[in-house]
Amino acid sequence: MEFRGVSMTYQTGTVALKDVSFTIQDGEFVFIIGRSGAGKSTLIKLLTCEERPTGGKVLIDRYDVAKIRRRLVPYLRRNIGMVFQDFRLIYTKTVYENVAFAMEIVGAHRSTIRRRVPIVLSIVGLRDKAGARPGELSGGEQQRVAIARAMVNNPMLILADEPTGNLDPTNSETLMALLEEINHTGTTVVICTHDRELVDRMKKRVIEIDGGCLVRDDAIGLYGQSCPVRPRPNREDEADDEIVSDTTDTEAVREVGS
Amino acid sequence: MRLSTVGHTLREGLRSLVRHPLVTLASVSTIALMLVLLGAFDIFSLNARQIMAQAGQQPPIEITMELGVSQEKLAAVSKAMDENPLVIEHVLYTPEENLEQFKQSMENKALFEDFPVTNIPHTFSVRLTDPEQGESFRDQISGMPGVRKVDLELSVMRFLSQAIVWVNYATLIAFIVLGVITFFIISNMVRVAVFARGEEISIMKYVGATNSYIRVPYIIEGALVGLAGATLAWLLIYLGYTRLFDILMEGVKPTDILAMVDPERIARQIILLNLLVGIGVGSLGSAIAVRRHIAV
Repeated sequence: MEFRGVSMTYQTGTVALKDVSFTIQDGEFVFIIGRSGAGKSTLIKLLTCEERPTGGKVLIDRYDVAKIRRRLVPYLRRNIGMVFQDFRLIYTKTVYENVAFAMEIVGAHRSTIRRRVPIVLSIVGLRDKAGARPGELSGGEQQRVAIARAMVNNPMLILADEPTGNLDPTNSETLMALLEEINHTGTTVVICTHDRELVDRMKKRVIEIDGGCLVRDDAIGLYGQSCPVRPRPNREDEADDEIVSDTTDTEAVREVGS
Repeated sequence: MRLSTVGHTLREGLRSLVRHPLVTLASVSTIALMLVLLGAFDIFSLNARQIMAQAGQQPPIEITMELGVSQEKLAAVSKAMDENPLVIEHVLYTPEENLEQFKQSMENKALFEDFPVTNIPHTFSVRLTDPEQGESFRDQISGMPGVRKVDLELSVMRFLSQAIVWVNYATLIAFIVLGVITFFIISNMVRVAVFARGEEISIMKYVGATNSYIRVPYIIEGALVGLAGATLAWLLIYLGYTRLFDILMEGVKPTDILAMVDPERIARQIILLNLLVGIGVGSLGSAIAVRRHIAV
């Protein structure tokens, strides 16, 4: 997966990303960090083709997703498992149905669904909760259902947007262990987060976005560790840009972290 | 499309109907109303056409021959009509028969007992295949030797013919107006359903559902609403028309000029029209609405 000089300006004029470039190899485990509004969500939206970049290229498996035809977008998304902070489960369906639903959508055979869903629920430790509805589960369990749904179609990439945002430290740790396990099977895992402890504990690659710019890309990084792979953009040049106004806060976060 | 996907599509389409019963009811009622009105216009049109056809075949055309016309001239006119493809049948009435018929129509028959038959002409009563060809037929026959005049009952035919044109225009206008109203109601129904399932739809998109996978259940829902509306309208029309038929046609023979179209024929024709329009408008309305609200 490669971002090559990617810029994104919304129709409202808000600049979300500026000339962002990085590459993520197959099977990597990457944290994308940054404060709220830094551009992390835009990055995810570009990967899932919810938005198209206004400049540069977003390549997945050498395909430029910015140029992918609308009708092919669903087929791209089938290769990406999404995990959200608010779980995004269907509360009228059972745990089993929530996971099976993802397979039904891609047109899997009923027999395949019946065989695979229990296996995936076993992996996330929820086989005995298959008949329960999400509302009856704890936050950690609900997020594990979301992970089961994300991994059930064997995606090449799992994208998690603040997956531990609604979880306590114990559940966060369980979740990370699960994602790491999935990563060991060869699936690329990209997590957008501002969970400092989590990033520091995992010691994985860290990409930091700030004010729409990539400011750090550490092979084994900490949340607050400053180890830039390229010089930071000249902030004075962006003095008039509304995103620049966030810089002071970001600097403060960095200083506290280090 | 896989069988499981077809199953999902039908299931979701049905579920969606039940989720918002009031919206569904409003949509079904509007479609039914539209189809009842459309059916009423169609019934009027069908009856007007039948009356026209029967009027044309119930000899409103009468050929009056000259007094004392020769048998040769009568035979020539008769032969011309035999060879004319417009003529279904023609009947010759002798002066004696015409006098008798005239007497029958009078209250005081005794007055005409001594009326000389030589003052009464031979006449032909003619039935044409197409009543609108009456004038052309008159032009062909009136120039023949022995023919005094050809009478056509054109006023009724002209009125009916004009009425059919008006009814067709009114039907078209009513169809367009009600169609637009129906479209908005269905569009609203789909919007409510899409908003109610917004979260589920967004999840479906993230998981990789195609446009058709998400949209088709709504189109099925629209088609089902159309089907329900069409069936309801058909029932109302059939029951209403049968009742009207029973009241108005009591003692009237089916061959009478003013006989209404048989309710069974109306039922067959209306069900086809209703299903076609109802399902068409329902699914098309949904398809357009869902296209505006859902895009992956």
